[in-house]
Amino acid sequence: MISKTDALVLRALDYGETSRIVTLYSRRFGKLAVMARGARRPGSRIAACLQPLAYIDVVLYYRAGRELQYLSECAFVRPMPRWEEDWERRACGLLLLEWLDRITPSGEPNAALFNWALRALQSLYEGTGQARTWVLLFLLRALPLIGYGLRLEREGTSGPWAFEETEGRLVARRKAGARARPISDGAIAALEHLIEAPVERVQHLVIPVRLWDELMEHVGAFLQAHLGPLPPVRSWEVFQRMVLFKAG
Amino acid sequence: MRYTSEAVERAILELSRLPSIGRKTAQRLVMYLLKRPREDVARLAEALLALKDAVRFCRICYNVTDEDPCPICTSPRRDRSLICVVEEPNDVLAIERTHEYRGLYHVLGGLISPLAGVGPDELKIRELIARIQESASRGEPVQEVILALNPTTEGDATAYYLARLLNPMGVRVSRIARGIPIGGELEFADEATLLRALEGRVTLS
Repeated sequence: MISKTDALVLRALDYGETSRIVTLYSRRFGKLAVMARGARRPGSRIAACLQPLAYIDVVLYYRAGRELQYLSECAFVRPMPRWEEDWERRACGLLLLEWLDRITPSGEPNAALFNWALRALQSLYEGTGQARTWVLLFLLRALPLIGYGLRLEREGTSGPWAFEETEGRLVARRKAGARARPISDGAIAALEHLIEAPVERVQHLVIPVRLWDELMEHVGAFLQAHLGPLPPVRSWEVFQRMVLFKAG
Repeated sequence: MRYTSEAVERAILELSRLPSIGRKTAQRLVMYLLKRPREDVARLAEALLALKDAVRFCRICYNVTDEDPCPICTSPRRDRSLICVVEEPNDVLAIERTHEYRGLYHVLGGLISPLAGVGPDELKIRELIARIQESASRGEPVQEVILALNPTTEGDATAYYLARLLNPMGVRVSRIARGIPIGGELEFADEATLLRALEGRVTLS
C-alpha cells in the first residue's frame, strides 16, 4: 500500500553500493526502518533528506508486519538546521534524537510524542531557550506521553532526599532502600520546575553542567527502570571529547 | 538448505561476512569459483593474502601503500603546500581520477559521527595537525588544506571541526563545492542542495 506521512530521520546506515537503511520516527506509523534504494547515487534526489535531524515528508510502500519498508519519495518539510559552529546545539539535537529512538518501540504511532519531539527540535533549530535544558525538558515531558509520568511525590517530611527510580518518588535518605540514588536539593528543584512550569518560561532555565549531568543520570535511571536496559547514548560523550580534544 | 560439501559451506560463510554480500550472492560467487581453473582461484587467494602481507598504511598520509612512505608523499612533482583531507583511501583514487589535483593527501580513516560514537580521537586528526606543524618547522609550510569530505551530517561536523582546529595555525582551509551534479536538472534538485549551490556560486568574468 502506498502511504504518506511526515517523519523525523533518527539514523541512517549505508547498505550495499548505493542504498541506505534509514530509521524514521513517523507521525502515522511510529518508528520504522525503510530501505532507500539508490540514496547514495550521485545526483540522488532523496540523499539530502535522509540525514539525521531532517524533518521530511515520505511516501512509502508500506506493509504492516514487515520489518523493512520501502521508500518511494521524500522531501523536506523544513530545511536542515545550519548549526555549523554551534556544537552544543548540534550535540543536543542529536542527543534528543538518540533518546527519542530509545524510548519509542517500533511500529507504535504516538502523535502527541511526535508533535512534542518536533516542537523540541524546532526550538533547538531556532535557538529558542537553552539547548541542554531542552533535552531534559523534552525527556521529562515525553515521559507521560509514553505512560511513565514522573510525579516526584515525597515520602517523609524532610531531606536529605534519595530518588527511587522504580517508583519515581523522593524518599528521605535515612529511610531509603539501598538502591535509591541520593539526589541534591538543586536537582529536585530543577526537576519540579522542568516538569510543572510553562514551557515558554522553563526553556530559558540555565542549568549548570554538573547539575545537568546529575539530572540526566536520574532521568536515565528512571527510564531504564521502566523500559529495561537501554543502549548507551553516545552523541553527548562524543561532543565532550570534541571539546576536550587536544591536538598536541 | 546446506550444501553437502563442508568446503563449499565454509567458503560461503567467509564470503558472506564481506560488506554488502549476503548468503545468496556468496553462493553465486562460490559456484562461479568452482567452475574456474585452479590457477585463477590460486591467483585470487594470493591477491587476498598479499593484502594483509604487503599492504600497509603510509606513515605520512595514512593512504594504503606497498612502500612506506607512499609514492604520492615522496613524489618530487607534488605540490607540498597543498593537502587534501579525505575520509577513506577510495576518495584518494576518486580525486586522482580527475588528473588535476597535484597536491598531497591526508586520509582521516572515517568521519566524526556522534550517533556512532566516533570522535576526533578515533581519526587521524592529531597526525594531520602534527604534519602541518612539522612542515612549517621544516620551512616548507602547508598553505592550504582542502577538505574533500562527504556533504553529510558527519562530513559537515568533521569539516567545521577541522576548520576550527586549523584556522588558528594560519593555514587556508577550504572545502570542495556542493551543488548540482553535471548533467543534473535544477527542477529536480532538493532545497538543501540548491541552497548550497547558490551559496557556492562563482563569478563569471
